[in-house]
Amino acid sequence: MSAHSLLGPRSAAPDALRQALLEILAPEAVIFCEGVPTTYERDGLNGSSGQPGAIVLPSTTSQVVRLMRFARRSGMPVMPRGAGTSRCGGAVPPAGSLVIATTKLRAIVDFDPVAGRVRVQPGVRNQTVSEHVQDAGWFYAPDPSSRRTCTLGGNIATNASGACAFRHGNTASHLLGLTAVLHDGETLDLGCHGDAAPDYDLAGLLCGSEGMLAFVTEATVQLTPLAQQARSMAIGFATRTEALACASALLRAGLVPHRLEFMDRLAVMLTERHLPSGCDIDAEASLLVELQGLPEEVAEDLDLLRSTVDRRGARSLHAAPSEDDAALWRGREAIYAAVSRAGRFECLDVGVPRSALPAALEEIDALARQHGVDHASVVHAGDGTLHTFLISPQRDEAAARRACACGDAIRRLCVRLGGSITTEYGVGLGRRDLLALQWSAGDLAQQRLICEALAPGGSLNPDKVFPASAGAT
Amino acid sequence: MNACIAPTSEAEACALVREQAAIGGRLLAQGGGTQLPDAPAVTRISSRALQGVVHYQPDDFTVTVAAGTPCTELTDALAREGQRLPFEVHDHRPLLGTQGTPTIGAVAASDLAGCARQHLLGARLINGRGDLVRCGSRALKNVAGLDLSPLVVGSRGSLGLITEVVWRVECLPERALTVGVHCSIGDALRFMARARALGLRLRGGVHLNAAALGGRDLPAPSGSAGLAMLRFEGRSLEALRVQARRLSLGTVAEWTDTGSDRVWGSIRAHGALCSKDNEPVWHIQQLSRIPGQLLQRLTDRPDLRLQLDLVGGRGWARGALSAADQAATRALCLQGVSAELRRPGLGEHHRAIKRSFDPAGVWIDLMDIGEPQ
Repeated sequence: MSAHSLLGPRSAAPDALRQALLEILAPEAVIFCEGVPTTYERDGLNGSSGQPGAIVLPSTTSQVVRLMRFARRSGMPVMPRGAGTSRCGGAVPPAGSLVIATTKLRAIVDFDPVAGRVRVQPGVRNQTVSEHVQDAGWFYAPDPSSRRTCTLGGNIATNASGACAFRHGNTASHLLGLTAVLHDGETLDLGCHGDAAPDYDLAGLLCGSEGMLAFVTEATVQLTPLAQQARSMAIGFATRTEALACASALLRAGLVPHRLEFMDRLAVMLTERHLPSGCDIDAEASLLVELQGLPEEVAEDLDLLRSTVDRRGARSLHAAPSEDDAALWRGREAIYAAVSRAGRFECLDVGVPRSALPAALEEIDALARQHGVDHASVVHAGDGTLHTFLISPQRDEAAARRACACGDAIRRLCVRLGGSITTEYGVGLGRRDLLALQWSAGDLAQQRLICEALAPGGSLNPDKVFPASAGAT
Repeated sequence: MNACIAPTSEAEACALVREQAAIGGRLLAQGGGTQLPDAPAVTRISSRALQGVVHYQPDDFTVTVAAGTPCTELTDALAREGQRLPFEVHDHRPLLGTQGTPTIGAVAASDLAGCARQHLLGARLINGRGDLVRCGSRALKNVAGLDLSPLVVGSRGSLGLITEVVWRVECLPERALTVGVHCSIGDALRFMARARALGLRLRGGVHLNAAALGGRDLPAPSGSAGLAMLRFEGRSLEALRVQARRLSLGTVAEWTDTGSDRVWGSIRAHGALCSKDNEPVWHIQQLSRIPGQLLQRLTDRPDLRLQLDLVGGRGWARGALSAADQAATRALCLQGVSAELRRPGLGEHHRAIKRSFDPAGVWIDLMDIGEPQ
């Protein structure tokens, strides 16, 4: 993948644009890009940036409605933006676009502690939801690694999920209702927010649509009860195959762990160097398992875990201290920081069917050797998501290019094995040229027709997701 | 033409659809025909000849299966590997008085099974242009491109003929415990809320009102109370009983393992609602939208039999519903009343989505059968 710049000419905002936006919003809620680059010009995708026409920070649905109507009248493309944590250029603004940021849409509108439901504006951070509801015994389960900074709006745009997805599901499975504003300012109240007849599931369609169909201004999500008990273990194995086979055995026996992570040797070494947590640095591969639930459930699960691990001949077993179960996970949760100490990296979020994980890891080894890059992998062993880190020395541009090329080759591999080029980050800008690996021209044409049905002219987050060559029929 | 064609391949089905689209024809997609009491006066195209498990590796926790595969064939194949679908697959034939064989593609198209929607990972369907379109994925997680599978669930054939579906699967439990409690619907919902707050992962929860219990081989209610049945699953009965006790239910009956399976077999076949009369049959899609007082009033009626799915949030009713109650519950009539009361029309955006799949209007929505075309 090559760096993709959308730099446009930097110029003063036309007076008409300035005047029109200041009729809708207070001056402090409008940013014009004049001379000084702003955070809003880029996201987590290295090497990509864009020059928007203006950045606006509404705080109400009615302001969003007026902004969308204005953008439509003036022909400005619109890009919804959360915290900009996208790793694939989903939040890189198209040239001349109106970036509608959710920075001021951060109210927790309503919380029902009995039913375990919360209604929020899209700028509320993922972790903030959990912090708000924890005293009542709940948490918000979808757990992308960026949850301290990413927003619910961004989570909905990408149908975000993390290590807990095998047990708890993704954003879509927690979404009860949405309020969304279409390209022309029409407001839709969907799911539990509205009275519409339940024909086609528009809320389900919007989830994962990467901001191409509507701007979400409120969402109601289902919460999950905080577990009464949690127990974690780190298990070391002599081979990766043994580790993955043990994971499969646990799941086939009916274990539904809160988290089940596979880490290869380099991943463990890097994380233990960064933040010692108790994993076995001499094991070729490790499993981290977290069991949660009622005491009687956790007791049974522990028995099953220990008996399965005994039969599978693990080389080490380390239980987290009962007073600090989270201790075992600190290294794993700091993997990005840990890998960054080894050099520059590209992190993949590819996926394969679980049965293909051993073959995928073998072929990734071969591809990494072929491209001359170091690599470390952590796997969500329940759902088959591979986070492979392709590592290159800082300031070695040739090595960085090789890592990019290796990443594309791995994505092709995963599609060939029946998986996906992206399971968590989305397509955005950085992966759109690879989308045709996974979908036929006809499939992409149907997807584009849906976009055209709800957002005619492609004015919402244009030039994202679909390859430039995929035209509508 | 008033025939039912069962193509034996996707290519054959695509060709048939293109033929019909070219002449302005209309088609009704169906699986095993179990939702149609009489052959409607339209040309039907059935997936029933598209059968078989396409891809299944138990370690994947997914299964890809041709849409015309009988549900029992799929559930048997999964059970041989100690797995199952994560939702109850209902058999509507006794309730609707229909023939045919329930097929797994129709489970997606009809969205009558409470929790099925959230477990569909992908699908293939033939749209109104006669093109084969893939939605979603065969993998547990995928966010590449626009996922159209949420549109397919509950589309009732209006977007196309589903030819293949991908479902998530889960492990069969070792032990099962079903407990029965005499209670009002309000109390049943409070038990469910308490179970949810404790993190209890109930496989099933149902409330049968007193009218539905009459004459059944179930614990007789006192007064107008109904019967709630909650299904716990896990590795030991002892642990399951501990979980049940956490809800302070006041259990009047208990069934374990095969006994529990028999109870739920009857629930899946709507045994409490079956009868030889021609009373209307209703499907309530969202229990959570119904005000508590209305729900209580409906369950108190001696002439309306209700089976409420407390886990899936759905309901089944047999008896007369006033127009006001139908509107308030958004109940869909599956059998027996005039077309005007059946359901509201599609909104503008729904029509636009329909047109994107089917610009010539080839595919008929199952719920429009009997209405002017």
